[in-house]
Amino acid sequence: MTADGNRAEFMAAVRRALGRQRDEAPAPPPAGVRHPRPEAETRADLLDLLAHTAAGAGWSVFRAKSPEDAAGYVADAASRISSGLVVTSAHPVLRDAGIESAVTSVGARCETVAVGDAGSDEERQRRIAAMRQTALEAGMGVAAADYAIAETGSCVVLPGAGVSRLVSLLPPVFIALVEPGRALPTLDDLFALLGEGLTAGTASRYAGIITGPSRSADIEQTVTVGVHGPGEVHMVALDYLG
Amino acid sequence: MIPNAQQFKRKSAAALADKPIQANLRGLYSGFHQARLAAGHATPDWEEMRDRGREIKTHTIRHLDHYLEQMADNVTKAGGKVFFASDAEAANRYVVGVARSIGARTVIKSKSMVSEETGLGARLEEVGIEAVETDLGEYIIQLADESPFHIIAPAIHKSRQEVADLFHDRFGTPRDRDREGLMAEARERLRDAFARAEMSVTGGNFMVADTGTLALVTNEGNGRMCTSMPRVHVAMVGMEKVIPSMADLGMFLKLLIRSATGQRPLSSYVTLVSGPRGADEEDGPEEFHLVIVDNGRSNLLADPELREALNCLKCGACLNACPVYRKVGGHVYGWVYGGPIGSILTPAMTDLAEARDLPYASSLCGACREACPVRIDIPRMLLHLRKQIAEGSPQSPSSKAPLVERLAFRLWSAAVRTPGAMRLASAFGRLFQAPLRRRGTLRWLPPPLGGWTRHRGFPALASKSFQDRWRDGLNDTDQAGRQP
Repeated sequence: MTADGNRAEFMAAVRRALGRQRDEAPAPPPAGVRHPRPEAETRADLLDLLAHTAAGAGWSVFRAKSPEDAAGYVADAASRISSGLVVTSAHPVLRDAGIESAVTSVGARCETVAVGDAGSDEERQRRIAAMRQTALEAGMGVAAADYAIAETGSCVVLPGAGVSRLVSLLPPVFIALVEPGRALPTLDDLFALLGEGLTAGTASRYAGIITGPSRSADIEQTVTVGVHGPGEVHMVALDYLG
Repeated sequence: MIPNAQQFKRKSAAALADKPIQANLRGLYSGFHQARLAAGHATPDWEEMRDRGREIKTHTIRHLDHYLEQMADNVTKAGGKVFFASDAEAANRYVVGVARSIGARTVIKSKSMVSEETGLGARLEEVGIEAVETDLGEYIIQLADESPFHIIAPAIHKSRQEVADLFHDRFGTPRDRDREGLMAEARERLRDAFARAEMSVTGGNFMVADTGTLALVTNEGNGRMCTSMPRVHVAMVGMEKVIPSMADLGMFLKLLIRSATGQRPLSSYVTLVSGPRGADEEDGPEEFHLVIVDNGRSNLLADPELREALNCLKCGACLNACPVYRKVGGHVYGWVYGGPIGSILTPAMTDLAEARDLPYASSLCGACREACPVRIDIPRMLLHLRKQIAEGSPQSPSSKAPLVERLAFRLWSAAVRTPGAMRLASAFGRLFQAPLRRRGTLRWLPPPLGGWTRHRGFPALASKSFQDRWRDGLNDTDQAGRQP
């Protein structure tokens, strides 16, 4: 079974339906509507807007004035979880803010989940299973946002070395740390960046845009949070880095 | 799923008499429909976005071959595999082949209407592979062994109590579980499935050609689970879902989400997949397969009158706006897609003769066209299909209207063009209607005309024609002859 086997036949049928013989490069498509940049002249304005829209989208927003401030907020959240286990991704921002020691100071365990260089596929699968088990047991995940979007109140998490997709997904509580320089005005700005990166082959081939808690309205159209992803989400803006 | 749209009328009558379904349907209007209107009002440039969205989709469909080639090239370049499936059988065979190649025993599914079209779930079960739906609504209807009731809210017709009873029967949970409790039960069971599944099958909301990216929109997070947990991810996507550029993805996401649920600013999760896991990444699928599906879409593409239906973003707004759908619900349309857009897709993608009732399941009020984020002219296409049914189409000569009906309309058409014949026919009509006429309305007509009066009165002929009144100087009145 070749994956490409049916392509020519399929395309021939499409062209027949369109009354064409071969691929003809079209004129450029009409331009879409770009949403206007929000009126945020300074980075502080942008963060204010982000805090506002994020709160509207269901995040608990905290503006940290110092690393201790940020670590204290995370520790406080960690003290409320019952499992006593916090998973994090390896990110300089977490290290600089002293997240791990803050979490352990309130009696919770803190584990940075990663697979690392496994060597064989067998070993890799074994490590993935172990990492998954840890993330499933954790009561909270903490990660740095690669981007935040002021227009929509979203955090964007990209996978990478030391950054598992599971930290922001499996535990019932998720905390995203946002560096001010990572805040983008609009969704269109994000897609412009990703578009360029993907075309150049430099951007991550996966991106999770998170806008508030996991929700479902599938039973009687009434919103219930925390279906598959976290039901409680916090955005900690690291204002002190601004 | 095998189309079964022949019994639209009988099933509609049953749905109308079903009190719980009627109660649950009321929420569609007060919930989704009103939320959509509010979201539109609150979005700057909303109307312009709809216009641009329409133009871009029309352009893309017109050059579908070009954008699909571009999409496929980019996915392949990123290490993904692309399979083009002309029909349901080809799509299922490929997906089953992938599952077998990795020895998968469990496949998790995120909501995919295309996989409903192809009946993938049943096919996997047939070959001994467990298929688990992970969207809460889809999970519920999978347990109940039903088909989706609504494009974006598949289990909208079930009350909490019905879901609790279903869980009780299947899992022995107490019947008085509240929504949170039911959700927690489903989460635990589905977490187990996520952990053991070797492969996932998702749909896709958009394929972005210039970057080779698949965009998935979910609120629950099952889309992220399906694209993060298993070793292999297969996306089954209808070929019309392609858009040219990442630059327009933001606009299309807003058009889709605000029209579907009215959510602002976005749904909880938008997940972008442009290939398998990168070498330096910790986790994620090692294989990514994109199955681009035709399955009857080229019928729509080949008919310039119906091509516009391929602009559809599958948001479900036309369902919520439709006075017919809101009374009869999604199960009477007999296939995967219900409501106004379903009344076009089902006949065009499957069989016009089988689905001949669907283009008539509309009062042509235009609410669907008004609700559609890309302004698809659904009433125009319903009329086009009615014309094909009346005249028979080259694709489906068997769908022609019955001889009696065609004869009756031919007679009527001849009569209105001949004043003498018209006067004679009217005179006969007045004579025969006299015993049936009650306050200007005929409450009953004999067969074969009985259908006209089964649910409403038929306006009686005025006792004097307009021409006669004109001749008499219009000074008489014919109160009784006026329509009520």
